[in-house]
Amino acid sequence: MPSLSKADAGWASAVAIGSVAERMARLENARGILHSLARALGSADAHVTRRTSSVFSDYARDAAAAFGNPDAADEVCIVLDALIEGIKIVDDIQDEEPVCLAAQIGEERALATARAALAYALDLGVVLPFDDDAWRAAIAAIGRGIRETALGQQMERNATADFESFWNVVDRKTPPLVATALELGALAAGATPAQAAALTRLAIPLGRLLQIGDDCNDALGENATDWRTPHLNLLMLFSLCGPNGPELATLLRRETLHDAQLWLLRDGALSYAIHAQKITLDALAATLDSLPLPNPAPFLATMERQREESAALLEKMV
Amino acid sequence: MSEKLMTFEEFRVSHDDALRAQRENLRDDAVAQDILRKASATRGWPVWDGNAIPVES
Repeated sequence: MPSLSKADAGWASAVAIGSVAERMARLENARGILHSLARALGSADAHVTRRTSSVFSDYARDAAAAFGNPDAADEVCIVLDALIEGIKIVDDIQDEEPVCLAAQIGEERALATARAALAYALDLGVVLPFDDDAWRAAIAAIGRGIRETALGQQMERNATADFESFWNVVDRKTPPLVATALELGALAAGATPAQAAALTRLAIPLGRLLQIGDDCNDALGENATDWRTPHLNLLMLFSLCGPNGPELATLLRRETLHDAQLWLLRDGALSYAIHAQKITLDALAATLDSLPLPNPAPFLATMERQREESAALLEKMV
Repeated sequence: MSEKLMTFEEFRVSHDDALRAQRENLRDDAVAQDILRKASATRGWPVWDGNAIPVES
């Protein structure tokens, strides 16, 4: 039997934890069993970094605000921080990040820390003060978010250097956690499970926007690291598939990264990313329009902010 | 304008003039550096954890 890489082992654990949580959400005495499971997985040892802001918390707050109570999302934001922590640890191992927890304490201990963080998310879920139907929907959303994100991250390992593969991976690895954030935020504000589930239709466009923004930063930022896996970065894939792709390929090294970044700009890669962003924003607007939200204004404001930022960049470029 | 996401080939063809003008514009290194700096610090874009500030451990 072939041995699993450490990242594969981490994702396999996450798939198992998520699947079990989803099934447990349906059991009669689910809270007690789920708490026991979380403790067995090390939730008491978790060290989760609280964040003053993260995009997932922002989406949860937007969802809560859409149902009339933006402050209701505070408790679920802690759950999201724990999920992000667990997933990020394994993702950093997969991406071979030079500065990450696994580099500091070793991959085995980092994986145990990731499991503990995911278990902590479940344990925090146990005490969410929702009515029974909403609570079961919330636990299922947490479990689904863990399982589907892990499956999507595993797909990334088999991605090929073409756009079909690129968007396929993006749509599998990022939207599940966005969907969890939206669902938890809506439930926290008193939405019914059906209303909260409907809101997850925003997850694909919001997940794509998140990935596009990430790719711009990871291609053009000072500490850009995507040059090691350029087929997973929208800007780099655009230029590598173009007429001068082989020339760019020779520049994708740490020593020549700055030259590669200027090359990407001049080749129109950022413009293509902004084109993709605009189309995705239009899709998001259409989906928002189709949802009977009491107050879509928070999501509309987020969209408008992105449009303005991108428009300002385009003005400078052409 | 098409409402669908263009492939990279369609984008290159349909935006040929704009991309050429952009390449000329960005030959000025100061302009390119400015765009690079702004693009990598665009706060209105969501990113996975780039806008997260750890507050406690």
